Amino acid sequence: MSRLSAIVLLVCLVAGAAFGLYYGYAVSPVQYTNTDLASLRQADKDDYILMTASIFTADNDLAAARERLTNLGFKNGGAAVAETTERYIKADQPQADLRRLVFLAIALKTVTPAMQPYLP
Amino acid sequence: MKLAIWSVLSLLVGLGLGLGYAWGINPAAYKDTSPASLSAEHKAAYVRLVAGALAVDGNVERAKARLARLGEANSGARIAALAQQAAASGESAQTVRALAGLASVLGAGPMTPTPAASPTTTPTVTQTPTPTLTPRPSVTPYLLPTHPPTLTPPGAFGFSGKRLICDPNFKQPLIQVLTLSATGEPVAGVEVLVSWAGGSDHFFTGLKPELGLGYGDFAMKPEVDYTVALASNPSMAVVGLTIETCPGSEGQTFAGTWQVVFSQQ
Repeated sequence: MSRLSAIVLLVCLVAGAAFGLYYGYAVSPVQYTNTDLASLRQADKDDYILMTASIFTADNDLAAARERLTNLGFKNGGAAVAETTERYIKADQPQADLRRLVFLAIALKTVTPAMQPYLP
Repeated sequence: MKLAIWSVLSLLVGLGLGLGYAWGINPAAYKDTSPASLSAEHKAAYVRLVAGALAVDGNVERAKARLARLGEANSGARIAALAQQAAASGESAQTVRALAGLASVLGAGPMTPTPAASPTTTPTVTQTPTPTLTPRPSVTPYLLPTHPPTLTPPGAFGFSGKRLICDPNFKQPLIQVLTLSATGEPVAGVEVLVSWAGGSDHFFTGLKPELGLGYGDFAMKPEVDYTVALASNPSMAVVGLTIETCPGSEGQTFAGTWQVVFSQQ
């Protein structure tokens, strides 16, 4: 094989790979379905935590709340609730939501100084 | 010519390598997904959570926005079906009630489920006098300063009446229960208890939204004496509901359906 042939083959190989990468990432990237809760984007996880906190304020079922947080992929649900609560406080979210989150944080013993104004 | 063939083969190999890397080895990030990509099981859990949160905060628009993130049509009928599954699988009354409430706010069919009734026959059953009306338990966060609105208007239910519906179009005799607010609006998610000698069952109103948000029914069997009450006040029971015959055409008879109405005071 001549040097020219080798170069041509190499160029074709690289061009094919480049086209494959372009097609695989840009034109037709992997479409995920049947994902689990742990893969949700942070904003949706925060909202999920808020819903968990809302329900907890009504049923006081801490085991169920912990399970929901675990399903969300958090090994330490308390820390996740604290982080979400602080994000909501910084974002000036409605007081009712903040109090529900703090209520759950209290139960999980993860109250932070930023939550003080919202303690019952 | 030979070089051309090898070039094409090289191109294809490169393409395969590229796709293999992009789809298999290092695919697009499996994170930061939206609720729309969740599995059916997790979507159902998500809907339950939305329903539970709605029962607490009463924010219908927020609930609708949350459901919209699932990326599929969540009609009242669909949520009602989920509520029926929850009831059938023995999930908590709170969960079923929340789902029924969510189904009701998502809209449903007309309120009155029954076709025009024929004249009521003389009832052979008597109603147990109502002793004391116990208020329905409401969802109350005990440490929160504000009481979130509930989907079900407060107020204990009282027995409003019953009637025998003689309609040959019904495929089987039913006990239909209607739960209404003080203003006559249907109330969904009310748990109804049905008992008879040797058995009992329960259902919720609002799980057949196409028949009305305050509607629920139970199929009757021959020669069984049924008692119907609301779970919120079992002592206020309607007793002695049995299949009654209705006069049909040409001297024939058919089984009638009982309709029992409970209204909030």
